[in-house]
Amino acid sequence: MNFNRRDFLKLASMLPLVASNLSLSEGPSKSKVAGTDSPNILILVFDTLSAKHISLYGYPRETMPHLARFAERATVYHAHYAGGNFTTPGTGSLLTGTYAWTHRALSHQATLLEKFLSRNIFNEFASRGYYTAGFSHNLLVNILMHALRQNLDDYVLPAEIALVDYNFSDDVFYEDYVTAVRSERAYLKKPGQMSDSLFLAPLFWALKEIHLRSIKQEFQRTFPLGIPGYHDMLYPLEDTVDWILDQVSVMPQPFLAYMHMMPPHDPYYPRGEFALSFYDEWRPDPKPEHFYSEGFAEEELLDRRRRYDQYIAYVDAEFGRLYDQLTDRGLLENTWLVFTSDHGEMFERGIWQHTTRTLFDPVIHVPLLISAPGQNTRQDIYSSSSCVDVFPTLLQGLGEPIPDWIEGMVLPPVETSEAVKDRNIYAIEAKSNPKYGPLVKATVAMIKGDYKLIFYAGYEGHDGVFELYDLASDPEELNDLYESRKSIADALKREMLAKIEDVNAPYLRKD
Amino acid sequence: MVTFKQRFTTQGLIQLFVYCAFPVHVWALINMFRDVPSWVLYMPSGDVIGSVAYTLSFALIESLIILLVVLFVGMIVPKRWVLEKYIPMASSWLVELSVMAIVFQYFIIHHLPKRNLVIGFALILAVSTFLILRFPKVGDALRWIGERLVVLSLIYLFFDLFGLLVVVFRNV
Repeated sequence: MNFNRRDFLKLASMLPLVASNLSLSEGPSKSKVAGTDSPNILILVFDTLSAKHISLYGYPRETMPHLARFAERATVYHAHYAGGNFTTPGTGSLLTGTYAWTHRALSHQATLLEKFLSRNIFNEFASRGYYTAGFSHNLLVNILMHALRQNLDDYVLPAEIALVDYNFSDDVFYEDYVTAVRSERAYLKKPGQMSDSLFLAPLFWALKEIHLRSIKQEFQRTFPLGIPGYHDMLYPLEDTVDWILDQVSVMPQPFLAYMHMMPPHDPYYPRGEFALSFYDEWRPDPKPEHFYSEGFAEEELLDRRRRYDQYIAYVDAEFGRLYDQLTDRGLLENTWLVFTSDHGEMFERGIWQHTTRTLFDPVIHVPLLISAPGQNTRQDIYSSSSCVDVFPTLLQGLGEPIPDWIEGMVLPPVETSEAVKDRNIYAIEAKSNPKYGPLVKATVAMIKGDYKLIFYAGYEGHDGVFELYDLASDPEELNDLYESRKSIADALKREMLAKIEDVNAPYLRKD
Repeated sequence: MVTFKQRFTTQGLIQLFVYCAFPVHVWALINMFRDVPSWVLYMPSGDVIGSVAYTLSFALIESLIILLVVLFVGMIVPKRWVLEKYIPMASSWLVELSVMAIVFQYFIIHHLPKRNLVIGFALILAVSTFLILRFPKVGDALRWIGERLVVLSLIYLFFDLFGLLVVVFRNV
């Protein structure tokens, strides 16, 4: 058979057609039920934003005045909880409406179970005719989201808008980004550990240091402490906010856009005007060291807390600018705007950040504000809610049915039933637990009404430890009531253990 | 090409490759196998194989980059010197630099001052250079060790190429 140049060109000319058909067949099935008048959905997630540090939620420092402005036309959820104490489980729960013990993204850099590639917020809305877009600065979110990219019309990696990007996997190994980026980090940039690379890693660090020095000098006046960034990228929030505004202006409507921004995640680099804020007399009540104390002294924690608060104020200023622009452009008249975070941050009990095994409120109590299209009044909801509720609430808000695999409930005021008040809410920390095994090494928090039960399982020296707090009378979680309110503790313990047994069942051997 | 062949014999090239590849691979594999248990906890087996493949491919690329640097230096120093002194000297430097790279990583991680470290490195390199120039038996010993490591390095190379294939396969 002769295959000449003309035949080759004919075949090559058909390739785009074949490719476009392939991408259609791989993408979400779009029934296009949503009309162009259907409301948009814009989900703004600010990483590591603890509700305990937000003035709107009663923090003594005025960290988020612009969020308070937004609250005047939104529903404010006062007892909202993340699904875990770090990005992977928290974001996984937000995107799937299921708890971490179900979606199984438990560890750092973990992905969702395969069945969630079609069971997630992007796929559900795409199948209803929504244009779906996803963006995150956070590598851990990108590891989750890259696997869901077939459900996304527009998936943008942070390198596209970063000021500086020292990663190469996003460019070179895009198709296999998840595994490649994990390997890239292990080979060149293991944080706080020896890298797999003998020569290239120190060379990379040295060159990066030299390059960063020149960039930092350029931005010295704007960001005197350092330029916002993480995971070997720098991305001033100003650029990201501008980019989001550009995107939402040109996106086909109706759209669902999930925008996950890294600030105020550590390192805390506020803009110059905020870097001198909060040098005040205020000090939080000291708390006793926990058995998982990391040994941070009180003064050190106070200092870091101040930096974090400054960084939050910077985040708030940029959120305010975004909010004003969205308002001015009239976009909020036809958009559900969700403001939340994936987990919190901690500066107490000798513990800093959120890489802890504990699940005290500072690491899991996060903000949630939802503004319905055209909403002009404030509503306050004091009953507990979870990040798994956001997805079903949005579906219900559009009058869409809720898939039965979603574990969250529809929140008030969208749902008026009282059932939401009586249920249990969970947060799970299981980064050392096998993905495909029962939950044996984990911390689980269960919030029911005013009570919060924390269970430490499988940890050496602390296996089977429980703590019980009454959040209504003791919001700072200072008095462990596990021994003194034994009957309540036992009842809650039975419920929690039954739930864990239930979620472990698929992973236990049948014999 | 002629100049290259005049400077580097096949045996010399193999010795240099071994001294480039061996420490890079040993270090990469030690660190990788420390991670594998945690990978198994949260990754499907396909991704574990993928991660191993990337590590091996990166190690191959790193070895080749270092080899290229060594060969480049070998092309700019006098020809007679390359044949007599450069290969044992480069071999010794590669071993010392490997140890130094580990120490350097440790210092970076723990934010320790590096100025004295650099001075110490320079001294060690100078002393080893002197030993090789003064005592030819040191060079012979390095060649002897290199010959013993050839088979192991070829095994690494085989797995590297296999890893590279896996990486290519995962990205098409």
